[in-house]
Amino acid sequence: MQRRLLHALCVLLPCSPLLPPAYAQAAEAPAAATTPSSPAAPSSPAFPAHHSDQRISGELVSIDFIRRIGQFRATKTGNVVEFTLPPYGTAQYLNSEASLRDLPLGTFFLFFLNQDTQGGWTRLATMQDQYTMDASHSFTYRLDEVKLAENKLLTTKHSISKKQEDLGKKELLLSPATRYWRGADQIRPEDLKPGEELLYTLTGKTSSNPGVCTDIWAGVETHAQATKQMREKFDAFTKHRGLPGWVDKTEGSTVTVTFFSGDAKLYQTLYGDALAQGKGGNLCVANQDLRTWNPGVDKDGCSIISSEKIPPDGYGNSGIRATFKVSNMLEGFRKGRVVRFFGSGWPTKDQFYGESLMGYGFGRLQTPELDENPAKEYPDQFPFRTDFGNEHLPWYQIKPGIAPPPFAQHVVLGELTKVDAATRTGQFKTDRTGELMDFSLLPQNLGAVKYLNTDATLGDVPVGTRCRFHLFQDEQGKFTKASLVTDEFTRLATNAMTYRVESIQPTPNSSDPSSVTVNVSWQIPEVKNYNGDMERPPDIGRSLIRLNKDTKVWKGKLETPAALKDLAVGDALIINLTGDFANAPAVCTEVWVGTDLHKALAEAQKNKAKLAAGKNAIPAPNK
Amino acid sequence: MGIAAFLAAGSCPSLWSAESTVAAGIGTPAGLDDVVRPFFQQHCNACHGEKKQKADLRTDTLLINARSPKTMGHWEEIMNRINSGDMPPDDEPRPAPAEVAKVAEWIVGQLREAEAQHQASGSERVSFRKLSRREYANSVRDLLGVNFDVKGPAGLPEDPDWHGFERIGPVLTLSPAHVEKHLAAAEAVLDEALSLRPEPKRDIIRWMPFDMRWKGFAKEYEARGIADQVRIEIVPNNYTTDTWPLEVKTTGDYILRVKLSGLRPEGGRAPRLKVYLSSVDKTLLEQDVDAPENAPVTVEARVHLIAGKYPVRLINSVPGPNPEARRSRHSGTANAFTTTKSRVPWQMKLTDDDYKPIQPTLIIDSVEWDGPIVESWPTAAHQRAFFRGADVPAQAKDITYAREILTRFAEKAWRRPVQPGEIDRFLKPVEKAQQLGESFESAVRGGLVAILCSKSFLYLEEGNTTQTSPLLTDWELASRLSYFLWSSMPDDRLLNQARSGRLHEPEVLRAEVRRMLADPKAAEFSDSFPRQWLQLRKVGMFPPDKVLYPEYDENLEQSMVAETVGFFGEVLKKNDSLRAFLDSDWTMLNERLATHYGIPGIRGDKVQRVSLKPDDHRGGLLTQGAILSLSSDGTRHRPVHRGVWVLESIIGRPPPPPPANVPALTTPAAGEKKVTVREKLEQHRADPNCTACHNKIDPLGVAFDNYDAIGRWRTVETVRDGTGADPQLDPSGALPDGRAFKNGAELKQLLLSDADKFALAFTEKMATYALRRGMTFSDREELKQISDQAQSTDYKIQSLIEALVTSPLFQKR
Repeated sequence: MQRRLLHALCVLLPCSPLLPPAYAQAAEAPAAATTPSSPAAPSSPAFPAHHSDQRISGELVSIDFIRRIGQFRATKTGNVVEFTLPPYGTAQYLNSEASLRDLPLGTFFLFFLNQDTQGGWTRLATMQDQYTMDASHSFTYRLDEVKLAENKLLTTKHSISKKQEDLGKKELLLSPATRYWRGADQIRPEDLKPGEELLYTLTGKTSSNPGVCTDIWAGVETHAQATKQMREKFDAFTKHRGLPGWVDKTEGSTVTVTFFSGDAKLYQTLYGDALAQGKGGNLCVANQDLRTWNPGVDKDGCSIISSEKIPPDGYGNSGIRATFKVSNMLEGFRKGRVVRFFGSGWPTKDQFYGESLMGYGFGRLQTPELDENPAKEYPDQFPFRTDFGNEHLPWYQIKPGIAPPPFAQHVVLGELTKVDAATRTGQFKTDRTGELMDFSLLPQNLGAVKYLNTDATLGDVPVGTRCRFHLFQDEQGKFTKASLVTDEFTRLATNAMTYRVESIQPTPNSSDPSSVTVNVSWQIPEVKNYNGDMERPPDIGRSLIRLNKDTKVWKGKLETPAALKDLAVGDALIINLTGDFANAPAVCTEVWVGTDLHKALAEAQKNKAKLAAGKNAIPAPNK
Repeated sequence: MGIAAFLAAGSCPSLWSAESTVAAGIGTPAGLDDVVRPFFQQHCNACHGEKKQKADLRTDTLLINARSPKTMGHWEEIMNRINSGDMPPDDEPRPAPAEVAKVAEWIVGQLREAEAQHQASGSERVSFRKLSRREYANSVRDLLGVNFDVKGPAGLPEDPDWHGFERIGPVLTLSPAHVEKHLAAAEAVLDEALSLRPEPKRDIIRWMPFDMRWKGFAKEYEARGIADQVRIEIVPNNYTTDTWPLEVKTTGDYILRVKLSGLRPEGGRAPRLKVYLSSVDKTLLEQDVDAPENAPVTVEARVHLIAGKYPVRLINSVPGPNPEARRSRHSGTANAFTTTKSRVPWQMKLTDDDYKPIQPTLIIDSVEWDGPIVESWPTAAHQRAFFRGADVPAQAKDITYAREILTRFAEKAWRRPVQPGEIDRFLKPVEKAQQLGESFESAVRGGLVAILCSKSFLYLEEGNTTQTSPLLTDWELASRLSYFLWSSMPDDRLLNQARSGRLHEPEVLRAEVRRMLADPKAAEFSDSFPRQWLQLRKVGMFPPDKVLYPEYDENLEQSMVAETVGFFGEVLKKNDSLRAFLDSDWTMLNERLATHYGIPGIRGDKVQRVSLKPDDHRGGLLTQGAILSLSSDGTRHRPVHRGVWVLESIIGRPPPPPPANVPALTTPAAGEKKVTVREKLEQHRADPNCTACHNKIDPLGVAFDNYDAIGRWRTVETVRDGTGADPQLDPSGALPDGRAFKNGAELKQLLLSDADKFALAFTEKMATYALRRGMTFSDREELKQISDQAQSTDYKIQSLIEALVTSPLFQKR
């Protein structure tokens, strides 16, 4: 449980993906670091069986496109639930498989979750919006009556193809933000005609609230067109990156791959030909997040020597298994690993900057979080447990005077509740669980604090700020020794990330009338493209953040605070926030708006640091 | 020196026929009157006789004068003209091809005789036969304990060969460039041998993986606590970068140690470590490594390194896929190699899904350079030279002491007593140096350098200036014997035998031969003689086409030579009969060659004795890869070359050289059916000008058509041009005397039935090697006697060697 709670916040504000349940082992005596035991040869990968999952409905509140992690707020409990998409995991939207980029935040989905290795229901096999849930069963809602004054549509659920005339009455609730579609056009609610077949997506659904429609599509042709457009979009998205699948086995110079899809029937139609025996293309290595390294260079020419239809048993199974003869057997062509196939004639290109693991041609990524993560990709290279793997090994044990290696820390998020700058100790309230934890900074320069991306002391960090604690075990095995404490501002600045405002709206179902929810896209800096022109890479994720009357907003200048109302769509934000708890979602404490202001703040912080260094310098004795 | 050079060296404006009547060595050897003269009478004398002398040539009075290059030049010209069909001219009747062949063969015999006589030196007061560079290296090793690298950039030029022999007196010359090289070599050798510099400190330069590849990751891996587990993997056909140099501060011998694993795929080859100094093109160590990932081994070699900086490559020289360098290199992510289970996905895959090796991969743990190895200080050579020790008072370091030092050294270096007065001229630079303020030791060193550059060291001197002697002295005999069996200078015992004046006695000689063959230094003979006799330096001279023979690699080439050399060594060690060279039911194979031959169950890269079955189609020298490939070119087998090689090396009857402008074998026109090389040759032989010689040559080569250009057994010939299936091979043929054979195996049986002839040919080759000259007609009888003497032991090789050494021939100048 701990793990799941921690994970949710990681997702909300992308930090480290999956954090293992450290506290579960906290009481155990630390074991000496040993050579990693060699894992046995991987067994053949398997898709989780249909109905092996637990289904939870909720609203999507955050999604990390690159690392394929996200979170939703559960309809029944209101709790935030985090999820990870395994390589075969898919998202269904508008009755089509969709890329994570195409999923609107706030939308109500049904999440199909399988268990992870720790027992948590976090592995998302698939997710379906209301539209998909209905359309996939050929249900539609025949409009019986339009009651705009009451913000509702009266409909009858039925199935034309199944000749099920009346499956019950259904009221569709509307809001001023609800959009209506006919064909490719957005229409007014007044344009809706009784008798029209409707499909819809929802938001704001809770245990006590049926939710309102975000969008309504009128007419079966409209439905077909919406689905077709989404399928075409996803087809282009997939072809650009290559068809993903995992390796069932390798033999000599052959690689047998079962491909991933959330819609086996469609997959056969779309890609059956490209994957037919005798066809060729390029096979590229990929990681578990479906990220490739450098397909333009590391692609491997291949031909399909056999292709078979297999029963599409299990989530994510496309029903196509093909055996490729490759020109070079690469390390990533290994049982259990993920590959991507580019059909003959498809451009075999790198993924976008930030999405590609190598960033070839762009130099080093300015966003370290998106770099190839050795602890995740090469756990054998670490003789201790990390937040990304090696759960069978003990955690790294701090040695006096020796700086711990990267990835040795266990990262925990929590709100700073108490500090004693003099003794370099403090207390934080762990995100999600609310558990209070004491901590002490490691001695001297092994224990550091960064606030507003500047070296600081614990005293500089306002109590109530949500921080990231890089923790190590003490003699009792508890994670109380901190090597680094940072605020959210520092994480964002270190990763050269800003949040771009997409929309601002009152927080639904909130008891605080001043609360607004801001839909933000996570953007990374512009880079030079192959033509040498500066270009903004695609966003890397999206989330909903909350602000209220207590949030300090800085826009234009540092000296005078602005107001919430000064926030505008398109603004680039860097934020600090409170901790996130079951009954008290995280709220921004401070928001800095605009890249010029960010630069000015960085400059001011630099000066402050210089001043602090001067102040702390020992003055020369007077003679 | 080749025939042409030999001829050019003696050109003379006088009329050749007149000269031929007065010069020494004139005569009418057998065949002149009954074979050649009638031919000339019928086809030549009309234009080159008493009445006409076209081109200033008379064939009617032409005699043999082996001492006259010009006369023998005329003979060579005649042979070439009649062989090629130039003469008689087109408007004259053509002689029968058999007649032409007979005359040409006779002339070749005379030309060779002339050449051999030129090499024989009995008539000279003193003859000088230069040491080959290999002998030079061995001599300075035995004299001063220094392993001088004669093949290195600071070494000596490669020796020219004469029919494979690299030690023939007149062929080895000394040019001014050689003199400079020898001077530099002597300086380098003495610098290392003498203790005139600060005592070198033995140290170990140790390269760990972070020194060689993972520099940027060292701190992180130390922090992780697995820095000691980091290794360097080298995929096939790849090497570590050589951006870090080895800095050798002191010239000397070093122990090179490499700790590593070598992953061998099941049923595949082991990886092969090659440590290579790229800047000086020198391989320090090369061997297969077969050690599991979790059980590394340490391989080592003693190497001689000259002070300097050298980029070092650790190469995995086993062939294999390395299609794109990037696939075996590394990204900036901190994942140094620790196990095959943790590799970058876009790199070449080294293990299968169960982590069993699929590529022969080297995994390096460390490299050590331990040295310089100095057995004692001052060195043994220094103590021997400055024999009064280190505590000699300054006043005793005088010219008398210097003379004694030089005399002792010269006696050893010159392999004979030093005559009064001989040292004087070497003392002069010593005195001069001392006058210029050099230390005694340094001045004496100058004298020692001069001795190492003197003719008496660099040459085997035979004879003396005061009188002509037909026999060697015992001192000369000691050197001849020593350079024969050890390729180095005589040891003290041999010199003592010479000093006693009893060395020439057969019993003493026989005992010495046995002692010397049992000495490890006899490995030189065991290695050097077969290489020269069988012309093994031609192996790989025309590297097989990589497209046609992708499996051919350096290791295979080395293994082929190792088989042949090892085979000779085994015959010598076991004192086996010479018959083994013609056929045997065993051979010497390592894994690489055994795999090539299709013989299973052999592991390791050292050659070992392996029993053969008839189905293996091997046995004796003639079916060994080295022999079969040296007589092929880069694209196909060459039956004619093979036949010539058999005639030259096994039968001892080299054929005449081919005439000029021989057209290449034709390839079938498009649409025609594929034909074998043999069939093409038969078309070629239809030309009457070619028939006679090729009738003798071709069957001996065609018999081994079942072996391709790299010595693999086959029954059909792979033919690229033409249509239809690849044709079946027909290795059958007949010897000139009419005896037929169906294939190579039967030919070997025919050769075995003529073992006496082979023994005689072998004896001649060994005598050429031992006496450092070609054999003449006058040697024939003695060679026969030697060979006959060994017949009683069924030609056991050591018996033959003893017979040769104790023969009068061996003691002749």
